[in-house]
Amino acid sequence: MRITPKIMVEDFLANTCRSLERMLALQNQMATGKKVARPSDDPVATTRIFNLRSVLAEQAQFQKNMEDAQGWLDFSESILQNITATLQRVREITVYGANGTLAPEDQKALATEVNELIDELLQAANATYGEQYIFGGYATTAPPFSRESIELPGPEPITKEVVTYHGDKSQIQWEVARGVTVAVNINGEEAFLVEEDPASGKKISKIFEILLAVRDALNNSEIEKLGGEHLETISRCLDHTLSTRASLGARSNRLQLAQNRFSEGEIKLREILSRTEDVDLAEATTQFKLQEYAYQATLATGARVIPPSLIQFLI
Amino acid sequence: MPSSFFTLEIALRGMQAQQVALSVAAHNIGNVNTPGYSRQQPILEATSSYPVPAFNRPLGAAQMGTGVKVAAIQRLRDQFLDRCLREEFCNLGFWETQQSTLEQVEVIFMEPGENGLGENLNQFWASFQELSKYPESLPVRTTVVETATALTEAMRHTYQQLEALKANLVTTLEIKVAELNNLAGQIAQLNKQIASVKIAGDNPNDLLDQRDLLLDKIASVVNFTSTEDAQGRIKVMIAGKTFIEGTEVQALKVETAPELQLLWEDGTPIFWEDLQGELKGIYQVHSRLLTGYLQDLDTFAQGLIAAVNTIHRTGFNLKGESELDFFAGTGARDIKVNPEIAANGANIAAAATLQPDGSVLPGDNENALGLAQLRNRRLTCDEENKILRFPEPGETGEITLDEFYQGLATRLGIDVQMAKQMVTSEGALVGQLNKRKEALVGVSLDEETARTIQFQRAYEAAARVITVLDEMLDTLINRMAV
Repeated sequence: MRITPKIMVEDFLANTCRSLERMLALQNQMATGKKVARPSDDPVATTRIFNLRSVLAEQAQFQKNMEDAQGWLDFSESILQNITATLQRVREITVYGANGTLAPEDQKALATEVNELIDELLQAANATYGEQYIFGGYATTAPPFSRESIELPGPEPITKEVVTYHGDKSQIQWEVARGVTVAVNINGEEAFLVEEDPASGKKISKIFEILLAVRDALNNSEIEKLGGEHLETISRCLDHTLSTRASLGARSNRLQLAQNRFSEGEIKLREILSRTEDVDLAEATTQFKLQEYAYQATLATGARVIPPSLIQFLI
Repeated sequence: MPSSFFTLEIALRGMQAQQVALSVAAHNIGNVNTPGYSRQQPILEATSSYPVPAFNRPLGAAQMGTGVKVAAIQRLRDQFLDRCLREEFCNLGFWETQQSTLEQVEVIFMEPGENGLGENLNQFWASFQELSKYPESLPVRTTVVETATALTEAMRHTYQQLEALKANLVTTLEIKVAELNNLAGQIAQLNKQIASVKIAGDNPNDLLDQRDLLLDKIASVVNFTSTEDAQGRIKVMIAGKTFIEGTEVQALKVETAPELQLLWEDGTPIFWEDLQGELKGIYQVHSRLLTGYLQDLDTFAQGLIAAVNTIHRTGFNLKGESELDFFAGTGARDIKVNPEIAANGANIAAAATLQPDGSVLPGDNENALGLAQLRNRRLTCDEENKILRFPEPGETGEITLDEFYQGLATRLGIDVQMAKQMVTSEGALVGQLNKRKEALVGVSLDEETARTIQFQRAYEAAARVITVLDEMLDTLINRMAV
């Protein structure tokens, strides 16, 4: 083949240009740490990256949901623990008050303590986690329980003190995995045995009702009632609260397990994502070094080949 | 017997011919870097011998040579190579146009990255999840509005940028066509000059080079066929119709509405399927690829609007109102968050149940959960009408909104990758052919230097012959019979 200086020069330029292009691509990869900067770098990897990113974002959200849900559940559980303690104290008082040897003043003193315990319990029933009232069902923005007096209809109307419920019996469902929801709350109806009073149409808590009854019985020295039906009812309430606690604890445990599983999965997914989109620095550096040699070699040979021509040797 | 001055004439012819050859070499050296220049060669030929065969020829030895002449100055050129190259120029132009525009599209989409629409979408779904956890919280509701606004802005922005790119392409096409017409005008002009040189019997080498260079330029813009007539005038046909004939040019023009269309000056259309080269490349990107991406983006936006609104309308906002749209707009061009919702996050319908008294419980999150779960709802993609919708009863959905968008980005990736690969391979082909052409037409300085010396020596030798003859004549005229 006839080789002209133009061929030499153009080939030289094309080669240096190619060399530089490869170096630039490698340099960009190393600087950004990403193998795939644009879809066209590797369309198949792009799809995978997209998918992984989307799944990871979703999982991060689920993880956050689980953490928050666990917070809710654990908080609810601790409140129920307080409630259990309160009920236990009331039970002790009831047993003590049923003792016929107490003077009426002592019983009155016990009644005052029960009254305070009722307030304490009410406070627990109106507990908030963040800004949400945890026992109100969907009614999360207003205290779900309140103490009030209702008039009992009859030939001689009597006022009776009750604790009424203003929430509903909704379960707040949060999504913790694709299509899997978990109820994060125990509504007040469930936790405090709320029943609708047919006479007044109000929703009345049975747990509070028995505490109020104990207080009244202490005030009125109704020892048989205290030792009999009241003690029994309190025991039942206590059992109920304990079983509610257990169910919350079970849910929280389930979430903890799911979270562990999720974090494991997340690590694996991140690994795959990194393998798909991240540069292997060792490999990239080696490649870069090779390109650098090639580039320098091109320049060196170019410098030797381009300038000379016959003219230099004739004059 | 020839005359005493016969040899003097031969030597003179030799000197003249070598001088011409020398100036051809100088012309070659001078044009070593001229684009489109093909090296020229003097064709040296012995002049006709003496005497002419006839019965009355003078007696003597056999025929005698009468010296040399430059019969022609020829340029070295291979029409076949030119044709091959032009075909590849045309393909290269087609793919290069696509590559450069599609790379801009990639930059517009910014995928896969932290600034792309995909990330906006991730955040959008996450905000609904947060809403499902804290439906009573106004700050969370505001976050939903903000993320949704960011998503709609990103969509509108992407759409507008693609449209601007499309409009730019129309301008590019107009410029290309104007350039093409201009090139054609120059060729017609050269046709005239070439014909006048040819009629006089000479080779218009440099004019031909110029014309070939112009034809090479046209080749990357559009495919054409060409024929040369007896006077060396070239006739160029595009899509079976005459573009340049002699000194006449039938110009091309661009029509933008209703469709991007190329027309002859007389208004007859040129079909895109008959074309190749940069013009076709522009059309391909403008009317096929970009239109497709815009369509897909629009389908995606419409699907998102319809799906989110369908669910949102069934829920209730904090005031107990339902039938509210979450998104307003008809597509990617004008999608935005419903102004009522944008103004007040309390209007997001997170609740699913209306209380008997017409109010809504603030903690009711069922509809928010439904909206969050939309992320994994499989929709039906109606390819024909380009609609993404909820599957009808009995149908199974096949694609989520996220997946649809991923599909769009992947398709773009494949298109760009294809264009890049084609540019690389066509570029290599053009490079190879160019090298072959250059080997033939390129000026080699070594070669020209050698030739220069060769001609110089020949010139000197011829001059020496004259000196010898001069001495002979001196002997004959001044020294004989003195």
